[in-house]
Amino acid sequence: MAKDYKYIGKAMPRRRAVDFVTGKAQYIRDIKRPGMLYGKVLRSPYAHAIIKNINTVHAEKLPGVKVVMTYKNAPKWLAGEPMLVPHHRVVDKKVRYVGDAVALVAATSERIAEQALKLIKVDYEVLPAVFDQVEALKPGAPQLYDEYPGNFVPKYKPEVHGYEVVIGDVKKGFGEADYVVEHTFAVENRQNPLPPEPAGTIAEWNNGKLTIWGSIQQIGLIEMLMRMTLKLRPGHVRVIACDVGAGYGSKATIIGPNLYAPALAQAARQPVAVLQTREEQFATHNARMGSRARYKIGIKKDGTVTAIEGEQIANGGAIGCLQSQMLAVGLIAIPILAKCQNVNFTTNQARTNVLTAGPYRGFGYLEHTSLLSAALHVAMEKIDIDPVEYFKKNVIEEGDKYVHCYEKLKVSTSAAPSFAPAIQKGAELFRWSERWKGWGKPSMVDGDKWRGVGVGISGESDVGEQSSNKIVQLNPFGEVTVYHGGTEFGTGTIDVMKRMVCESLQVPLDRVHMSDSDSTVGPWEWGSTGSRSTYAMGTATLAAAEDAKKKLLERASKMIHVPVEELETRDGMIFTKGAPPGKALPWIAVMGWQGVIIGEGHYPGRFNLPTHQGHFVEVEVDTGTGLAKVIDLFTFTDAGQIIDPLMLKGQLQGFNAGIGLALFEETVFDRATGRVLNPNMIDYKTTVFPDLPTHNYTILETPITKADPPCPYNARGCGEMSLAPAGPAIIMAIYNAIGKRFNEYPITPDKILRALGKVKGGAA
Amino acid sequence: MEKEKNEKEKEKEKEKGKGFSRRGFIQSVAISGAALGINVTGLAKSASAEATICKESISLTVNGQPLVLQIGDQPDEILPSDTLADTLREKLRLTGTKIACDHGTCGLCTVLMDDKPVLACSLLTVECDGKNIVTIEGLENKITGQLDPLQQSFIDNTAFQCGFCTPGIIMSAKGLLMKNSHPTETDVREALAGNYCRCGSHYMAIDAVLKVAGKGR
Repeated sequence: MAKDYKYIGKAMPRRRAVDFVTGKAQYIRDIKRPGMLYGKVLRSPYAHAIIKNINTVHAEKLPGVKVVMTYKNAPKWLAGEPMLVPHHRVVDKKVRYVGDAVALVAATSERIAEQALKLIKVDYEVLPAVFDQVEALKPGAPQLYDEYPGNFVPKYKPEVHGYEVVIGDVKKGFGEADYVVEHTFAVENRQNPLPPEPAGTIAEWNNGKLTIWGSIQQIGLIEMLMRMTLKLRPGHVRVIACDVGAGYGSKATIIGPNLYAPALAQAARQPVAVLQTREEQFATHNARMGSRARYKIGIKKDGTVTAIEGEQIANGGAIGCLQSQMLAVGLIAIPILAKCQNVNFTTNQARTNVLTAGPYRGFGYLEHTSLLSAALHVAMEKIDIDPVEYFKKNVIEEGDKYVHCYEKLKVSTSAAPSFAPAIQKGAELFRWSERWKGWGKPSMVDGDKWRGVGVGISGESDVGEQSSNKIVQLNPFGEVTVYHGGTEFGTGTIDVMKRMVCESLQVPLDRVHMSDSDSTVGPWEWGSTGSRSTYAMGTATLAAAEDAKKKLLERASKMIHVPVEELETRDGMIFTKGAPPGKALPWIAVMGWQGVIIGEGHYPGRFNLPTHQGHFVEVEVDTGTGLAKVIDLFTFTDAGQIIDPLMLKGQLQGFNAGIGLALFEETVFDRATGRVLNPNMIDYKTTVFPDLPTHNYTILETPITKADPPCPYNARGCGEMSLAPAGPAIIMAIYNAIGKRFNEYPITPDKILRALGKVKGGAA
Repeated sequence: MEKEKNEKEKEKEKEKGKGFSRRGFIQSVAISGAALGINVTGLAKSASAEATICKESISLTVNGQPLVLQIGDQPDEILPSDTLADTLREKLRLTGTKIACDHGTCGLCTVLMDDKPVLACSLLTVECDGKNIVTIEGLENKITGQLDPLQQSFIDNTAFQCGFCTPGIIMSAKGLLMKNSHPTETDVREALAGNYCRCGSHYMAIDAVLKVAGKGR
């Protein structure tokens, strides 16, 4: 049972709430720098070509144009992957996907810059292109880069990033199985992260130092990548995040505006803004990584998975952008979904002539959860086990050893309590046992409308990844400043840190000031990824607050000769415990009006706290139209301690994009040219208000006793995963509704009608 | 002060007469209209456009303030091809109205025109002659600074995450409440059907609207 806190566990206004509802929040397009120019990108119409000739004379002569940049005069910066295989140039002589940069223009207005692009004449030598990852890895396939022979993304530094799980003896495992099943599945719809605000960056150089303002979700990471790519010394890059119109992973890369704006600004000697259009966001920024996987699974009648063998082949697209790390992180899906001692599973990735794949909420594990779940469904049906029973049996228990691959392949001992109680609670509240009729059996049939239920679970082990550092400063008048290096992009990260400081120091919300998201303010911070903010950033924040409090009370103790353990502070005053009210010492009496007390907190990075989220769904399939619709969705998770019930509710309700991934979202490519055919919000479908299913949820708050360092106020993050369990739950529910198994997303009406035999022909 | 300026501008307008090129205007409209997928012929023939064509300036009210905007290509003038969203953001510096798709598909630029929610990216400013525009900045009480109950409800219900789509959602909801002070959940969902949100604040936005409904404006 949760403790009764004053600032934690309660719904309170978000710190930027007034700015959000009055339009005063400042996003990148709301900011102008003196003398600012606008940058635009001329984009390749070909998927693979060499620029034989490029004539920029007319563009340069257009009044208002300040810079025209091609491969001839672009800075020789090399980005990509990040840093394992630097290969991505600002603009190159070769273009590698439709939409790749051919030239950059900076001008006094966006209109003039756009006009200038039309005046650039380019002669291309068109090369054969390859769009599919398996084709790309075949001998004789068109080669994208010298840096990637055979288009193969090499498994550099396996000591840093694991790319495969090889444990036990799969041959022995298959021998012990009652059944062996094989299945393949593909997640290749290249879902767009589609934050409401497309990316944008303003760059400005001053005495060799670069400042960028951006719609950036990780200032620390971007500062590091910029510094490495541009070969600048520490202290020479300053990254400032504006208010960020969300990112979902897509704004943690230096590919795109973050690379173009500094290049143009350097050449122009003026600030330059590069602001992506919605079309560019769709057709040129990173989409969800495409991959397909085959599995061979051995299972016993009691639900014990005896062996897993297989391979995942990913289509990384044209530019390296954390895909290798995503594949490594994704391998966590294996221990999350199956308690299996014999595993031989490998991953591979190819460079291809399509839109780059990049991070998107569910960093690799969403994809792998979908791939593996589909195969496990076949195995579960074979032994006719209720999936809820299967998941409860296969969950990672506290003290279990499991393999995960981020930051090298290693075996962790789980410090997290079992997820089984949350599954059980969710099942009860969803009335699972009543609604589950068995594999391939609908829960309801009404004319053409067939309904089925399903359950999906996802998990990750990154809630404690990377290190964090924080500074908490007590000011004499009872105010507190927190220097945190974090970035707010919707998740409530900075509010969470703030609440912890309020609780620790017992100061009201309006007395705690969070520093701006500026890489030169406060210690270096990795940022919000993998739901790590609450545990990792929270631990460092709480430690800093406690450190400051300790220093404050020690000084007070010396002044008033009361033992430190008998002192406490609240509302900017120091009290002797149990003393009558009125006898209190203000902070200023301890530190003086010019003094401050500074506390510091550090967090070391941990990978042993697996965390989960699951959804139950009911899906209705219209067998007349082929339309599948989620009508009811129930989320279950375990947060340890809820910091703010409404903020967490919002995170859980991010599942809509998970429904979109499974049922209708798709970046459609022309298979002949590689061009994106639906780079707009009419042809690319997303969930809209009238389509929302009913949603309910349960959040457990189970004590976490084994975490080291302990979870701050027993809390850990669980928000990132909201999308991941939706797809597997939906695909199970559709199978139960109509008895048809699908082996790829999205499960659109045409595929359903084809499966039902109502339309003829397969995919072209 | 502002009023005085407006008066002067009106006089200037009278003096200039009908010097503005009608053909130039139609061409500009045609170009931007084509980009927006608007039926240009229909627009040019419509009565309000006919009237506008003859003008060198337009008058409109934004957040209670009457404004006269000169049509032309000088920095303080509006181009016939400028959208209302451009004008609000660039000329009037009311940046609470967001532009993201610029094609009328996401609802982020929603403002009220004569109490009805409209997409500011898909309206030309010259079409707004004589109209009353309210943006997100115009909802709070100008004198007391008190927020509109709807804005307060969004705060109380944490009905946003990144906040980028919030102004548009609030303006759509405001338009609904002005027409129907007791909407059902279905009414709210329909009214917000054109507003894109990716964080997943849909349910909380619906709650925020329903909780304020019926409590008066």
